Amino acid sequence: MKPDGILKRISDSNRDAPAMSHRASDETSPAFFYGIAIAAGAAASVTMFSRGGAGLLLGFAAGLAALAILRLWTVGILLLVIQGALFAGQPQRLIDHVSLLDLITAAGVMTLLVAGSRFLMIARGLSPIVNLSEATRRFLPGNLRASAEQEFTRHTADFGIAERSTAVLRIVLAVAGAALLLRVIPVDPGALDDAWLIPSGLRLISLAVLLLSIFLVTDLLIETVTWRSLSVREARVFLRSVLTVWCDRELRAVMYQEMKQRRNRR
Amino acid sequence: MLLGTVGAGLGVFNAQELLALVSLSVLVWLFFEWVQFRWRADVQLRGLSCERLVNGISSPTGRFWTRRLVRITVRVSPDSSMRIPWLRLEDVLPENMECSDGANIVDGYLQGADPFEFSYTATPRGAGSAILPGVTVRFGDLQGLFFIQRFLPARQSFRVLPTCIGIDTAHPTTKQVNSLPPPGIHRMQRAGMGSELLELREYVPGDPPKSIAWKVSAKRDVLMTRQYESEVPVRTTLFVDASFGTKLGAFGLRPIDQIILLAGSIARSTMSLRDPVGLVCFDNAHTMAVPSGLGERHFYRILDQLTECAVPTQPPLARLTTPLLEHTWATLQDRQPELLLPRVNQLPFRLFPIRPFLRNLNQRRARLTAALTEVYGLPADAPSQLEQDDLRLAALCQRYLTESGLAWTWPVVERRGREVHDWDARFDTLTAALTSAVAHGRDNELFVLLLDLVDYTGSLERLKQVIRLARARHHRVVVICPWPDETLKAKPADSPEKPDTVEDLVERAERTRLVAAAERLKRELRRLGVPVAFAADRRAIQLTLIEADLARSGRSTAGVRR
Repeated sequence: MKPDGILKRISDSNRDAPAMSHRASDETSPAFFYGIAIAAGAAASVTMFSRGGAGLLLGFAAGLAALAILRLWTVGILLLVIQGALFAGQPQRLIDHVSLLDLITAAGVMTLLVAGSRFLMIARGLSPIVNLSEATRRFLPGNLRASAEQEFTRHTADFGIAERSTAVLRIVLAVAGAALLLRVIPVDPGALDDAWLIPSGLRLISLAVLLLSIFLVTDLLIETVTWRSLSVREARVFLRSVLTVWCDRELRAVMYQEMKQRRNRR
Repeated sequence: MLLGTVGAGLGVFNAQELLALVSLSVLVWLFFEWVQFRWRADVQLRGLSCERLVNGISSPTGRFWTRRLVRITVRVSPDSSMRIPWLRLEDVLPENMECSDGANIVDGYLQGADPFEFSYTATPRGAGSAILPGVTVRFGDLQGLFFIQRFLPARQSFRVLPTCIGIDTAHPTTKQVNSLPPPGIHRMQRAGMGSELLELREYVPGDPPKSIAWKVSAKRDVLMTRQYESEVPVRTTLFVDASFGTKLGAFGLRPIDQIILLAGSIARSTMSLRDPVGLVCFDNAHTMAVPSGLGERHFYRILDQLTECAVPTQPPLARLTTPLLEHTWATLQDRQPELLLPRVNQLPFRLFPIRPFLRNLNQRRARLTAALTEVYGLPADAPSQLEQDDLRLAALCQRYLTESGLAWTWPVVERRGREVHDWDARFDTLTAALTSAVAHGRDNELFVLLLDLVDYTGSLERLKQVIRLARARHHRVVVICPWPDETLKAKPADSPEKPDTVEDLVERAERTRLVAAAERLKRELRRLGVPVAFAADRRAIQLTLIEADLARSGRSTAGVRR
């Protein structure tokens, strides 16, 4: 804390700490108590069914943990819940094509995820859930907190108009691309005979290889373009660091020798 | 991504089409976002350039005045048509400037080839320099998945001159009556070649015959000679303490800021009476003198020299501490983030230390040394040396932080270190400068010593000796010390209020110590006929002007003391 008045002269702490990590704002402090109340309510509901102290404790801990992780992983939790529901509720059927209903459902889920992500990014300060988890996050150890980069939130909703309309395009492209991928790699009924793998296993491996290849090729292309546009300073630092990596052992040996000689001279 | 991958794997493996479709859709969406983000961040953002207009001028150098508003307009232009949905721009301000109206951090977007522009108003805090290095661009996608920070250099360097306090000197600057000497020339009550009669004395062989007062000689029957007054200019010499100790603290609150404000104001007031003013700046080792002079040009020369004194140079060496490293890392990450990227700044693999905290600290230090090596153009083996040499790395960190506009506060300097206040060296340079001024000066000069002596608890004998020397040559001496807190009078040290916290107790103790130190200084210097002031306000300037008046008249009455 910065001192005031005459203490400034003798104080050591007249500058704010560097922004190595984000600090929760003071506005969220009431939200913490709100969160405690909700967690206690959730725990009480759990206790009604479990009739035990362990249930209360479990519910309380689960409530706090959920508040802590909801902050940045709201969409992740949402996706996990949807995937869990689909995994538990969907029947297994070996078919090659996706139905229109599946496409609409996937598009609906994607809309939810994209909209959720954008809402949290643009209006994070407005979300009570976020404020709640923000307040809870203060009590987490430093290394569990999000880095400063993840704290990059936008204060206003003023952004390019074209970007708003592309959200629909992104969703359509994502669902269409996924459907295309599933169609490109169909279930091979003869997989057991040809590759000694069950059909869905072969399909999984093929899909993984295809996705990995697309990723690697794209990464290589972008990396090449980026690498060619390095500035002179970046290139110099890179060259020097590569040299240091190559000669690290020798340089350290020389340094230790020098230090030893210096110590002996004393 | 992990959820998408696991979900797609499970969906395909279990033949659950909808699960596979949803999870693959997430993966494809992430992939598109990643490609678009990398294209924008690594290719398009490099095409941005920045231009800054300060008070409507885009010159790389310029001049500010403390506490006067500066209008800054920043324009970020793309080199070609691009679409960046939103980005956060921050015009990096040094610690010596504060944003007073508007914001130097704004959110915006780029559409097509149109530039993005924003304006704000800032105020310089203290005299010295202010370097506006450029604009930090923070860019992320609209979903909060990816983030990157870049820096657009737009370096502009400004000198910050002190805004002087105007004092009404109440002296006519035009000659009203013929008997008055012209402005800048004062009647001194010592024998000289003036036009006013000082005294009559008996004739001494060698006196010019025209000075013989014939009528008085006839009356007294003895040859009498008329002795005239001197007409002299009163030269004021300002001795400015620019040692390390005066530069400690936040900009605008440092002792040197008060000293410079006082020196500038005294110079302005004195020169408005057409009295010549000289300046001697001294630190722990060096002395820099500006000879006495008059006129607007000379005044700006003095201001320039005072400003030069206030610029923080390389501070005294400090230990390499984790906060110092963290501040350097954070500043470097703000100003030159590209030098710290792991892709560019690679590290050799080392097994030890295994603990994540220490490992992270070591890696950060290694990256920092490589980046500083590039910034200061050190030899290729410097990173390895700096990794082992704590003192050298600490000096480089201090240098980088100081050049980045950080004030001499913790952790840039360790203010408790004895090396910050080298009193012996300070007195050496002061006594040498004052002795030289006395040796080269004429009679009846005014020496204003602007010194930070409040923290000094040792013997003042060396200072007293040189003051005695100046007094013996009929010079007048004024000592003015900067005062850390103007609220001291409002809250006396023996206030009946009970302290509540440890801070209150420490504050009271500090206050008591300062008052005692001030009383001691006053007591010791008053014996020599030297008035002492402890403030950077009008009263201290008026005290100096009163002393100047006394010097002009040649009288020896002591001035008003605070």
